[in-house]
Parts: sequence; structure tokens; C-alpha cells
Amino acid sequence: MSLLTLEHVDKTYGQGDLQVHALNGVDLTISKGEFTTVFGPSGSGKTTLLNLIGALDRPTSGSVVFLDKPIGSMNRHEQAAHRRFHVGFIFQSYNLIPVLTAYENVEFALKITGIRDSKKIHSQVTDMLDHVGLSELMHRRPNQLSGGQKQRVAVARALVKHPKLVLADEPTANLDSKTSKEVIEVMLRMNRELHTTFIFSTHDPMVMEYARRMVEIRDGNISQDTER
Amino acid sequence: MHLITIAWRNLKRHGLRTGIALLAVAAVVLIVIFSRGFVKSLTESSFRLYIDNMYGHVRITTEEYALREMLLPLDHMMDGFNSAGISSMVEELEQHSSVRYVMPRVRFGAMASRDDDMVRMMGIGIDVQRERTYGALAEDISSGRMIKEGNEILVGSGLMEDLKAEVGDRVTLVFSDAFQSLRGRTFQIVGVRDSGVSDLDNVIFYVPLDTAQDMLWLDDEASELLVYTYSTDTTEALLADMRTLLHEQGSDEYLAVPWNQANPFVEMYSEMDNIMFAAYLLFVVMGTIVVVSTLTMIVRERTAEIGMMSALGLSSREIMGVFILEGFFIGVIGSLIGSAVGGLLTLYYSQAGFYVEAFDMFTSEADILIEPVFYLSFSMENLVFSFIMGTVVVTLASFLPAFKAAKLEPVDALHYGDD
Ligand SMILES: Nc1ncnc2c1ncn2[C@@H]1O[C@H](COP(=O)(O)OP(=O)(O)O)[C@@H](O)[C@H]1O
Ligand SMILES: [Mg+2]
Repeated sequence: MSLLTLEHVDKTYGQGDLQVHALNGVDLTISKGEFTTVFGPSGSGKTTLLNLIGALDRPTSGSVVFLDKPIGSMNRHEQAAHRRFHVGFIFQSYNLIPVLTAYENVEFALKITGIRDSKKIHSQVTDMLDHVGLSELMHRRPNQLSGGQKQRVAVARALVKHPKLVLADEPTANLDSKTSKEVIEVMLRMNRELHTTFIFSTHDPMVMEYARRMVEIRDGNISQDTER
Repeated sequence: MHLITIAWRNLKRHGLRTGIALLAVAAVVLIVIFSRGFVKSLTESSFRLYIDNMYGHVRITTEEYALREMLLPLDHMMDGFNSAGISSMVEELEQHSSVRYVMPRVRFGAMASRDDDMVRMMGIGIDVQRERTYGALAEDISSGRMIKEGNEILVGSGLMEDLKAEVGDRVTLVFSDAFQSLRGRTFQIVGVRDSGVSDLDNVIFYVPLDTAQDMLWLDDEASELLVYTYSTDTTEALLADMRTLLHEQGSDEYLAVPWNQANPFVEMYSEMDNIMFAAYLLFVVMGTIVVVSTLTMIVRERTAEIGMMSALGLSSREIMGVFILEGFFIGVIGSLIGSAVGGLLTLYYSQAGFYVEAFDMFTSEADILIEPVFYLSFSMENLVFSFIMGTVVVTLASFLPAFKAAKLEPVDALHYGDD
């Protein structure tokens, strides 16, 4: 069943001579439960695509529809609400709130969805940190965690509210290959256990290997779309 | 809840910046407390001088006297209700529940010669017993004693110097009586009055009321009655009472004037509040600029983080909230420090006092009563006001950077500084 549909999506940055066509007529359908990678060289449009899918930005033209809702034409406020409830983000850097502990970072994402039941919050947060293997370190602040540990907290935070979609923009770009593997494996496990849809971008072939669907993007166009 | 935690912990995270902003806020609050304490004490102590020495809470004179007061006339005296004498009028006023003290006074001009110079002065005939009970005059006696009766005078310290006299000396004064004839009389100086205010000490001497009446050829008369109630704040009530009483007694030729309307300088002091307000507003603006620029720098540093929070689904309002809370905390803590230090300092200077030389010059040049040594006024109201003002202003100031933070597009914020 389809979760997300992009039709003829264009994204242009800037004006006049400085115009950059980051995406040119992208058509893409994502189904529920996918574990999909978007790959391509730097500047090809991966981040732009993920931002549109995650309702962080609006397309210049074309439509982005999420479960029958046209998220591409929502206003800022509606987009924020959409992200809050339905989308989990994992970024390459600047991922966690530095003044909150690992536990609090995960808790924060859950609390802003409006859940008040503190018992439920506690069990959900500790569960999730357990899933990503971080129970021991949950009272540490981000600056007391390694890069891989931080990304695992980010995974836990993205998933704690059980969103329909998790977007990860080059989540392993700052990690060594061993840690990259650990993080991507945690993501894959979450995808299997919770059936959460994952879309992640990367240009690391080792990380791509884990995807069940590979969408290649070049100069703002999808040049290849393979499933295995 | 979490927004509060985030804001609070960020204060420590940006320790140096927060520290500078806190210091600025504390300094401004301190300045505000100081200047308000200063104005309050200045006006209060000056008001006290006017009340004690010149106007009481309400001063009653004849209308004519009030008009010609500068000339110290002797032909517009009060002779009591229905001309029954001032003594019985004083006693009658004292029966009133709102009245605490009544002091009849006769003011007149006099001169003495010293070497080749004439020393001009103002005599005040006082009801010794009643002035003693009130106490202000007796308090200021720096040497000798209070006058009792007969030809004794109490002389201002500055006037003593002009007369080149000492306690115990005899001086001959020249004056004109109620019938305009020039007369002279020799008095003994029994005490020196040093109020600290040269305007008073340089010109005034005091003589018993009956002696004054006798030498000036007055009957049971006075030029003015100073009427005091229990507190300066209830002057209005006293005034109303006095006016009613005068009217009831058919003494409409008598004028009752409250202390704060008796002299243009007293009214000027009230203006001083506004001038001081303008002065410390300047510091408030400067403090506000420090806070705004500090928060603006913090917002810039945390741009990517703001983008991340926005990606999490935080609304613009909530993002604004984080920075306003940070401003609020800076405001509260800075104001608290400022109020605490300001409280201690004003408390100290309310006991120890300052000497301001300029005031001494000021009061001898102009016809204004200011004490050269003044005591900062300590008041809880001042501390609370300044604390609230600091907190409110800083919180409001933080809206500007907070608004900038909230306005950031999440995509731009997230990739701020990427390339
Ligand atoms: N905010 C922006 N303003 C102008 N150009 C941009 C902006 N963001 C991205 N671009 C341009 O759009 C193209 C695609 O960028 P991006 O989506 O970040 O690629 P990728 O994530 O694959 O590296 C690039 O040429 C990039 O320079
Ligand atoms: Mg990118």
C-alpha cells in the first residue's frame, strides 16, 4: 500500500541567473514498510528530496501526497504538526539537543506529541533506548557519547513516537565503517520489528547494501530505481 | 516543561555570554534602585525641612499676609477666631482629632551692626513649649540651649559667624514694630541652631513668642499657624478639616495652604522624579541592548539546532518560547542580583549617609532647602519595583531575537554553515 506519492516534483532554488534546479520532475511512490535508500553524488538532490518528503520544505511545482494529504502545499504550521506526529528525522550532524541527556532527547520527541501519561512515556522511552542498545548510557549528554552512540539515540528518538515514516539524511556520513554498520543495522532491525518505513540517503556503497530498494538520483532526476 | 529545562540549561551552556548579560541587567537594576532611592531621599528630606521649618502640614495665615509674605509684614496678623486672640484659636485647633501640633509663629525682619556692616536677619517668635514638644528645633541645637523666656535668642550657626558672636554674648538688634517705628533691644544668645541648611542657619534667629509680641507691639497675635497632623500622607484630610473649621468660625479671611502647594520649589521636586526617570531609562536602554545582542549571538550559534528542533515538529511559538524563557531567566536572575546588591547598598547608605558638596553650594545660591548630607532612602517598594522592571524589560527585549529564531526556515537553518 502506498504511503507517499511524488508527482512531477520540481524544486528550484534562487532566482534569475542564480537559479539552481535541484529537482526536475521527480515521480516517486513509497510503500509502507519500505527500507529504501536514495543515493547519488554530492549535489544531486538527495537532501532536497528528503526535505520535501519530510514536509520540511515545499516543492516549486508538483505534488507531494502523504496518505492522501497534500503535504507539499501545507503552510508552515501544518507542516510542523505533520512532522511532529508522522515523521522521524535522523540527520548527519546537529542531531541531538545538546543540553538534554540521551533519555531526555528521546522523551522530548514523545512529549511534544502530547502524551501526558508519565508511566507510558517512561516505558516507551526506556524500551526504545533498549532497542538501540543504549540503556546503559541513557543519562549521558550528547557530548559524552560517541558518534555512533549519538546516532543510535537519534534513531531511538525518531522512532519513539512510532511515526509512519523515518527519514535519515546521510546518517552515517560522519561515522567510521564499523559504526556505520551498527547504526544501519539498528535501523534495519527497527524496520523489521516495527514495520516503520525508512528512507535514507547515502553515498556509501556498504550502507546501500542494506537497502531493499535503491533509488539513484542524478542532477535532480531519478535515473535508476531497483528493488531486490 | 522540557522547554523550560532546555532554556535553563542553555544558560549554563553559554556561561560567559549569560554572565555578561546577567551583569549588565544587575548593573542596570542597581542603578535604578540607587537613583530612585536618591530621589526619594532627596525629596523626602527636603520635604521634611519645608514641613518642619516653614509650612507645617498645613499653614494658616491671613490672605493678605500670604500675598506680602516676602516683606515680613506686621500689619496682617491673625488675632484668632472673632478676634478672641491667637492663644484660644490654637487651643481650639488642638481639640481637633486630626490635629497633632499647632505652632503659632511671628516672623519679622531685624538687623544688627557688626564692624562696618549691617547684618540682616529674620526673627521668628515661637511658642517655646509647643516647639519643644514638636522637637525639630530643639534637635538641631549644636551648642548652648533652647530659649526659655525674656530676651533670649537662639541663633543660626551661619548667622553666629556673621555676628562674630559666641554663646552667652549679648547683641543689640534693630527692627521696626507694628506701628512702623524703629526700635532696638538687646538680647542674650543662649544657643546655636545648626540645621545643616545654610539657607536657614545664615538668617534665622528664634525668640520667645511673647517677647516678640511685646517688642513688636503686637497683641495676642501671630503671623502664621503651623498645623501638623499625624502623618504627611494624611495632609489632605487635615486640610479639609481646617478649611471646614475656618469656614464654620466665619474666619474666611484666613487661608489654609498645604505644605506641597506653598512653594514652587516643592512642586519642582516632584518633577525631579520624572527627570531621574529619563536618566535611568537611558541605562535601561543600554542594558536592553546588551541582552538583545547576547541573545542574537546565541540564536545565530544555535541556528542548526533550531532547524533540528523545527524538524522534530516544534512550532514557531515553541521555538520562540525557548529563547524568551532564556531571556526571562537572565532577567529574573540579573534583577535578583541587582536588587540584592542594591538593597544592601541602599540600606548601608540609609544609615551612613553621603555628603554632597554641590548641594551645599546649591542651597546657598538658590532659595531651596536641601540637606547637604543625605541618606539614601531604603524601601522594599523600590527593590520590588526595580526587580519587576528589570525582569519585564529583559523578557520583552528577548522577544526580538526569539522572533528571529522562530522565523528561520527549517531547511535553511538545518544547513546553516554547511558549505
Ligand atoms: N538552500 C539552497 N539554496 C540554493 N541552492 C541549494 C540550496 N540547497 C541545495 N541547493 C543546491 O541544490 C542542489 C542539490 O542539493 P542537495 O539536495 O543538498 O544535494 P545532495 O544532498 O545530494 O548533496 C545542489 O546544486 C545544491 O547546491
Ligand atoms: Mg545532502
